[in-house]
Amino acid sequence: MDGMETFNFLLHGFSVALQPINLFYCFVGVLAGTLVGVLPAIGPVAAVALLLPTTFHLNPTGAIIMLAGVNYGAQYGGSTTSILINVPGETSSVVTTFDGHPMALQGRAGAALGMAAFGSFIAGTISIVGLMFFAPVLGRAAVSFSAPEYFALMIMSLTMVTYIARGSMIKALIMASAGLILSTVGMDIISTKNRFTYNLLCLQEGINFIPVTIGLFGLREVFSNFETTFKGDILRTKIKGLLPTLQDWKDSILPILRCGTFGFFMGILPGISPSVPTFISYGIEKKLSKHPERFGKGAIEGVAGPEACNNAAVSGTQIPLFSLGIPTNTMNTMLLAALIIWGMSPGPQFIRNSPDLFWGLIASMYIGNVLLLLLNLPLIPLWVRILRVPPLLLNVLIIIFCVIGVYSVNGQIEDVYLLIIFGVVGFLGKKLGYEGAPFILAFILGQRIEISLRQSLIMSDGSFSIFLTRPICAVFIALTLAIIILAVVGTLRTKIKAIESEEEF
Amino acid sequence: MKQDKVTSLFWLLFGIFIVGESVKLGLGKIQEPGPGFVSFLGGICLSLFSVVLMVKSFLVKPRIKDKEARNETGKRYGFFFALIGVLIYVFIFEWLGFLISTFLLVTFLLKCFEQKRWWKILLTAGVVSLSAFVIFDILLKAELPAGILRGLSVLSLK
Repeated sequence: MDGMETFNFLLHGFSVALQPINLFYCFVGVLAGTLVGVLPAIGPVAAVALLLPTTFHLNPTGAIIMLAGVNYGAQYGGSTTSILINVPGETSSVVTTFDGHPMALQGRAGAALGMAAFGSFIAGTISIVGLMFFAPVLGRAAVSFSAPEYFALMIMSLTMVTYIARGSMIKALIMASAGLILSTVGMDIISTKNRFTYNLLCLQEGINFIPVTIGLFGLREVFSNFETTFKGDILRTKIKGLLPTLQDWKDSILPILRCGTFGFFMGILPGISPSVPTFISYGIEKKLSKHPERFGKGAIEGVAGPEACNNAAVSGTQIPLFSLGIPTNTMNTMLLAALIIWGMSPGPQFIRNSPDLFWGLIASMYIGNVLLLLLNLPLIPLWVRILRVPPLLLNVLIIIFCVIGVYSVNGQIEDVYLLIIFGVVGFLGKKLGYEGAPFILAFILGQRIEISLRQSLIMSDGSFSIFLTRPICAVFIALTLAIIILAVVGTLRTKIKAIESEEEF
Repeated sequence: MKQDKVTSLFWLLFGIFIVGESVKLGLGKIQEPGPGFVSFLGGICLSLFSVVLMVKSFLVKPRIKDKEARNETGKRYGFFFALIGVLIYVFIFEWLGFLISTFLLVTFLLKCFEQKRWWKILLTAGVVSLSAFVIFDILLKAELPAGILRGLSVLSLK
């Protein structure tokens, strides 16, 4: 695909995205995303899970435009709470608190919020250009993939997600195994035999992923919020001067460009959540700065760089999703599930077979970035007011939304029971250090993993060596092993250090 | 670390159960795997990982941080109240209908967690449940249960 062809496809994408109904979905998505980013009570994954049932009756293009809007909108919104009340709306906005909040305390909240919005806009645009060029290239390269390559790739993604898990890797592996087991519930599509259904009709079609996801990511958050009181004082001073000064621009433009590009490429790697590159980019900027002592005390480049980075990383993560059909984080797992529900089959042929959806989405992201810039600057006072909604009431509302979201899909109360079960599982898991991300990724990919494994074994007449003799497969398997070895070596090294430090005492 | 011992035991038993059930489902031949094949592999992995976790939990001494964490009780009752509220809500959801059950849930949670006057709580619960009903049931046609209010003219509008 040459540059001209890409440009023509993009023009086609704009003709799709600029249709009034799609423009409306884009607006709703980025507005909801910003709101979710602002509110610490709910994350973008839970918001997408809650919105998903409402998209079943929409056209897939409009629906994916809306859900993607929630995703990148949340990255914008997350900065507002980080700067104003030192409480990050999203994990990817944690770094923004380092310099954003000190700026607010110095009376420069407006400049920090403004630069965060501009930085996000510029980096968001850079990364969309990257997505536009890289995704089709990778998609073409993956056309030759068959069952063994897919199996190896999915196993690598899953291992990477467990490696990146914040807590213990062994617990993440346990969650991934549990997710895989859960995905086998229901009728086996090859032998048509019922598995783990125990004569329950509601289990015959498998476990519905909506209550599982909303429970694990939505209700779990609410249960946790009921245990801890939301703290943080809202800045009462008036926010003025949203437009950064010339000096602010001079200080920030290079960090924005550097961190934006870095975030995009980091986003492509499986398992990297947008929060990881933001920490690294902050460190890089501090090292490159002529005045590193200003970092942590209100340096505007400490806000601009990481904000640019987290927005760019979002687009980067979408490359493996659209070109290979492999989600590399929880949010993209949700988008993959949505695509499957709408009857799409994400994979190497996806971009060619669904140009309206892919290029419409790309174009909508340009439009969404402009909308976010327009929304963020004038609506900041409104977001601040929303933060004053009592947290208790907010959490009660989220419970109601969770129940409505799950019940309205099939009108079955059993789904709501499943929601509560997974809400409790998620809550207990969070307390005991078991993360939901590897579980949900294995659960969503489970069926595809099973089919590709069984097909591979049929192809090889029962020999597992098929995963080592095919070059691409072997690379994926080698990378998977490397990840596991890295994790084991890392753990051993930490243990040895701990023993040494104990001996010193 | 005591928690890890308990959870790893739970996972181990669950893993063994899955392995047993998968064998019953049929593993098939390696050339043509059966319906229980993948869940069998999942069960084996789960059992192995839980054994690793169990061994780890016995080897690693509890750190001061863990002891501190145990002492930190926090607002533990908060989760139980929320859970009781949600469970009752779901039990009465189809019987009393969305409007009444939501009103009761909001009243229950606000009363449990906030020391506000009754009239304020009832007013908030009324506004929240009615707004949610109008938005989701009437405007978005989410097909929520009418319950004992079925037959009322407002509810039959949808």
